[in-house]
Amino acid sequence: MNEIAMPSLGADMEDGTLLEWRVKAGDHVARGDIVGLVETQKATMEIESFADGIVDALLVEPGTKVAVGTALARLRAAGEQPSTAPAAPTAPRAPALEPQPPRVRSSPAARKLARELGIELASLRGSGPHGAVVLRDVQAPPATTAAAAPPAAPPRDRRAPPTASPMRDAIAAAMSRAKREIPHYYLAHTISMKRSLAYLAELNAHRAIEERILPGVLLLRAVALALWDVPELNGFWIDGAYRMSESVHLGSATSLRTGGLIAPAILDADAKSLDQLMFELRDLVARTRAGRLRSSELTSATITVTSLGERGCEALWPIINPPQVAIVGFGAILDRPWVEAGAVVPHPTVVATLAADHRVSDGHRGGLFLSAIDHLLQEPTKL
Amino acid sequence: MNATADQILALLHQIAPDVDPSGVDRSLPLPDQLDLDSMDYQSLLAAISKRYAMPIPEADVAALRSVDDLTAYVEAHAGAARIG
Repeated sequence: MNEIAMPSLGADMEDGTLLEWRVKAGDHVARGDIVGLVETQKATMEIESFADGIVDALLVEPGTKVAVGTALARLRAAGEQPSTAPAAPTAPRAPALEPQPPRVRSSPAARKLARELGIELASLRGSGPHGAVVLRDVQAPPATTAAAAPPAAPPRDRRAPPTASPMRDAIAAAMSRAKREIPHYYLAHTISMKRSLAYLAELNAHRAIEERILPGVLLLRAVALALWDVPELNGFWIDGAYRMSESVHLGSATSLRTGGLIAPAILDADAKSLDQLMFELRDLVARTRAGRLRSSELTSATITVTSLGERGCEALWPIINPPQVAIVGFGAILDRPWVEAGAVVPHPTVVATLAADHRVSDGHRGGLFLSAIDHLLQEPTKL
Repeated sequence: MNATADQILALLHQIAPDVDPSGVDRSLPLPDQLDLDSMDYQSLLAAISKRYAMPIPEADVAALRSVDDLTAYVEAHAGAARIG
């Protein structure tokens, strides 16, 4: 028998809530199939089966919060006899932490505001798709439902610090641990983007919009390939030892407009073309916004890339996301003064930064890595 | 009220369900107002292109920042029969 357990998004995640099952006992599932949906501090995510088999028993009822690692379901192999052990609603394999209120279909923005205002989503009538509670429902709840809601706190003063949230708590815990435990070193490297942008302009000129490649995808591809030269930046520091990863699963930091960020992974990024990366990144961003990430995408990143250039940041000094050992940052692609043939000319450049773990690598190797990214971006046709 | 602008905002809500387009100032750049990134914005333009069966060349993209920009562009480039 195999078990499907509550996954962990990191060492700081302690529990999660099962929201719904997508399978029932007796269903055949293949490795990678989505079997259920769970809500964690940082995200709602789809749980995948990590084996082929038949669902033997569902062990946890939707709406139940359980600790990380708790068995949620049992899988049996084809031909294996069904288990005689009872299913969890009568005999849970692990104690439920606490019952949760029924899930209300709602947008992330609505959930955040409702939490800040102390309004129960279940008390509101949703006006969104399929009756979902959306932001406007929370901002101006109808009088008939407002009366049933607890007294709302005054709207948050924008000058005040953000209120605590599970997402903020999770980020704070992970980043505090990173700053406390990881001896970071930081490097920066200014890279010419002239050839890369010219290449993209030519490539995109005759493409439909949805097929055009964004500059950020070129940067992701360059990072993935540069890791072949400096592979020690791609891996994990776990229990006092370094474990290099043979696969490059590139975490792409995605900010949530409701606050916080998630860095889901593009799996095997070094084996994917620019078109594949663009397609997968678009899909990943859309599912991040919709709270539909898969557990494997949230747990498997071997290195993270974060880009803050779209709002004008020139460079950033990111914090490593443990247990990873490196993170790459990209600032805005800007025209900067550049010496070319003895003259100072405006030239499109990007500042690439690296924060890496000194327990695993040194600045010299980090410098080679940023240099490898630079070289790759000077030959964009090979990306 | 402009029907094309309303349709564009409806498309925006489809591709970015976590933003509330009701308070959008139609004359101001959308990415700045709603914290849309380049991926979101490309998806919006792709949805507009598909909705109005109208290509949007890359050279035109930089000038299309606000709902008013997009509305004027659609009304100038899409066939009248396709609007509405």
